[in-house]
Amino acid sequence: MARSRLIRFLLVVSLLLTMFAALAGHAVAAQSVTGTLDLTTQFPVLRGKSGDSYEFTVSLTWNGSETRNFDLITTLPPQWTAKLTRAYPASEIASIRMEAYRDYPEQFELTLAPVSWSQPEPGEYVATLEARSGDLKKTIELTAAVTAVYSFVMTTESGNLNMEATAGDDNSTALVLVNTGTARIENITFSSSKQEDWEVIFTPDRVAALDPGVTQGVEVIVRPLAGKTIAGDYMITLRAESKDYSPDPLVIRVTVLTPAFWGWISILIVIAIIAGLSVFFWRLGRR
Amino acid sequence: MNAQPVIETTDLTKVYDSVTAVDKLNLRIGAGEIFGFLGPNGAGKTTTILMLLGLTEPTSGVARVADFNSTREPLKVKRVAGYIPEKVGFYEDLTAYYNLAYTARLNGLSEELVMKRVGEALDMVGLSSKANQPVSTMSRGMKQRLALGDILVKTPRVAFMDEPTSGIDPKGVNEILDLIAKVAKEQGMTIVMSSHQLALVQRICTRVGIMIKGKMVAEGSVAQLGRDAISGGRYLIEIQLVEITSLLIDAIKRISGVTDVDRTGDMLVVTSGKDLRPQIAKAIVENNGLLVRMNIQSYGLEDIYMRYFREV
Amino acid sequence: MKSSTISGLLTIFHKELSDIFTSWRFIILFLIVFVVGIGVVWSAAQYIREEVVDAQFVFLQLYTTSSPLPFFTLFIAIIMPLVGIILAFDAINSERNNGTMSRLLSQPIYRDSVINGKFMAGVVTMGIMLTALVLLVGGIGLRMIGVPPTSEEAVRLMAFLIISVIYGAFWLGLAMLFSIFFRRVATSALASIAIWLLSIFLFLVLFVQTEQSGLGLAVSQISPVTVFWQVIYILLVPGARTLSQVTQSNVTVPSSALSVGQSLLIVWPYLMSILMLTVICFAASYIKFMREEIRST
Ligand SMILES: Nc1ncnc2c1ncn2[C@@H]1O[C@H](COP(=O)(O)OP(=O)(O)OP(=O)(O)O)[C@@H](O)[C@H]1O
Ligand SMILES: [Mg+2]
Repeated sequence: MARSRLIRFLLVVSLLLTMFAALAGHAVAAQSVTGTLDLTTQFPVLRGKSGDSYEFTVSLTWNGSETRNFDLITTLPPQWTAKLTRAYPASEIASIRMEAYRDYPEQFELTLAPVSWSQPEPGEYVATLEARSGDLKKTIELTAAVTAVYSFVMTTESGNLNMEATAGDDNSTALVLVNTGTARIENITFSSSKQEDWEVIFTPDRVAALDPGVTQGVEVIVRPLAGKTIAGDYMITLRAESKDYSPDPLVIRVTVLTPAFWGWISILIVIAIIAGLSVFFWRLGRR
Repeated sequence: MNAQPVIETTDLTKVYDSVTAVDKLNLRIGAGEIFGFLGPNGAGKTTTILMLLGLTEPTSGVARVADFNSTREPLKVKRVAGYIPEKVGFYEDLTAYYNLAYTARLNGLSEELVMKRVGEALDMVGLSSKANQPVSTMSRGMKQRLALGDILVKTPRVAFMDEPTSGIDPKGVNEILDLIAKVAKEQGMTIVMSSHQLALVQRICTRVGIMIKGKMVAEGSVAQLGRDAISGGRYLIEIQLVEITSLLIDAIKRISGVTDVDRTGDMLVVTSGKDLRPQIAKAIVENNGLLVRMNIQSYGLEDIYMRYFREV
Repeated sequence: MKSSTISGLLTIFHKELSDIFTSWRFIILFLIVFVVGIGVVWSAAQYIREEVVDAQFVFLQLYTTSSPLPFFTLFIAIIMPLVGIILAFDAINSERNNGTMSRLLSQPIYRDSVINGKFMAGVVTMGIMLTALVLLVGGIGLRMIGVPPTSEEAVRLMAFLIISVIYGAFWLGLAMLFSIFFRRVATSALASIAIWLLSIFLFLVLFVQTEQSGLGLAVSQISPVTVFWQVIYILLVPGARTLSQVTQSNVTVPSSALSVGQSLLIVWPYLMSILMLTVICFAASYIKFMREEIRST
């Protein structure tokens, strides 16, 4: 008796479930007329240097029961531009037509770039892309994370990579540092590789901060050891260093000249000897 | 000969390995003499001069010049003696003036005296115009004269000249000899001069010495030597007559002092102890003889020389 | 008396010096020595400018560096004998042959004044020549390398100069000895040159020699060139202290440098042997010449 009750109960439940299922199935079928829209990207944040452009690959999925045109609308941070392109055939796009019941996504590219003249500050720039068709819309955020560029160069003011020097003297040459990056570079220090006992002095001996685009002059004094340095060519290497960036070292050929004093002394010696010999030949040659 | 000779040798001997170049030479030459030093090649003339100058050492014996021992005090001798070597040489590429000035300076003359003396010497030997020419441009005779100038520069008391006239033409020789004679006279210089040119030596020498094989075989004036050598100190008088008669010969023989009368053709040769020409002339005239020519025979050095040569 | 002796010596000295300074033979030699000497040092300086970084005793290296050309000291070691020979090979015999010796010696001067005057003139000439050369070369070197010599280097150079003159004086004495012994000028010249070449040959044995302690080394020591070269090498390369280092030619400055005094102490015996040889030549010259007969023929 109890078993028949249980069976009955189960039958009712199953009947009800079946009905519910039928009802539910009906409800889904009624909604699929409008369909589902999806706008996704695998990499929503791209990182790059200032001035770079960022190419996002975006997928649009539509499995609606009817074919629809979707407008693609971008909203951009100031001084940024965007370009929507599809891969093949390459062309710029502004809207997409999606077939009904399409079960695979359409992929296209969104290229986010700063306007040509600008070098965006480091930071996150968020652009939004909206796909809209009537009241049906989907939005994703695409973020260009602009990182700072630390870069500067060190060259000689004249552009020549050689200098003349006299032992014991202060022989100066002018260097320039130019911040070619996008970020302020702080605490640039200098060092050099040189002959033992030489002195190479940078004035100023450090640069506290160098803002992007700014040029800073540095004077280098090369002082070859007096009285010991053989005249001739020497290579010295000048280096600038900072925490964030160190440019290529500058290799300068230093032509050490004979100190003027010794130059004169040597001329005097030679003249004295020639004069002395002449006197000898003249005096002794006369009879 | 003076009491105090300027040059004096005592048993001066020089022996080379096997040869005795100078053999016990005793020589005295007085002040102001011009002594001609004669002898054949290899007689030892040069060797003697060298010893006198202290340029070579004697094997034995003493050579003294101006009272200085040539061997022991050569410097003192050289200060008073000038020397013209056999083959005189000069610094060819230097001037005549410099060559003489060098000699003057070596004698310790002051610079101004050098100039004065060299100028004078060049004047005296007649080379003033060549003073500033290199010696290499000079002829043999000029060099010989320059050598004389070289001696004059130091105004020596004694001059040794080893063949100063060799290789010079007759005219040049006469010039040089005259010069030597003049200088000797003017400066009172004693000169010892070796030579082979006998006739010339004869002209200026007051005395000659003949050396043979290291020995002085004869010494004296040329005339005296001739007599000593050839006629044993006697005079030979030659007489040429138109006709020679025995009467005449006897007459001459009778003259006291005549030792011998020889007849050779139309000539008579009278030997006597002294010059008897006046007596002989008288005798001829008294005997009516016709005299063509009469002369006393003199002996050239040549004869004397040959004579000594024959002896050895 | 005394003063006249000296005046005679000075007169001869002065005349000989004048002779030397007016003879083409010497002027040409002088020019050759200068041109080659300067060339050698110029090339050494060039080499130093390009290659040498060790600035210790750099000025001395001017004289000891072997660039493409052999070094200055070697040049001096080889050329000084020639200078001495050229100055003296005919000193006595040519005067004898020309007949000037008789005239000269009949003047009131001592015979040794003739030898001494000629010798002095030769030594003074070599002194003038070497001093001028070393200074000239130093001046040019100074201009090229721009480093002045230290006082120690100057002392060493001075010693080098003096020793070189002594070395030259030996050859002068030798050539003069030959000019006394040989009557013919050609003979004395050839004899001197032969000894010079032999000495250079023996000197070269040093370099050909592979092992350091051989017979060749000992034989080479006979050569005055070797002896001299050792002396100046040890003097001018302050680190060198033995012969074996000397033979390894291009030693720059080995480990620890010696002081001038120490260097001099090492070279002293060698130096004395050069001096001794000079004295022997001189003594022989005196013995032969002083009592010799002077004939003009
Ligand atoms: N050095 C010498 N060695 C050996 N013998 C010598 C030497 N010098 C000269 N004699 C010899 O000494 C001798 C004398 O020579 P010396 O030159 O004095 O002669 P001379 O009289 O000057 O001859 P000449 O007229 O040729 O000049 C000669 O026999 C000569 O051979
Ligand atoms: Mg003679």
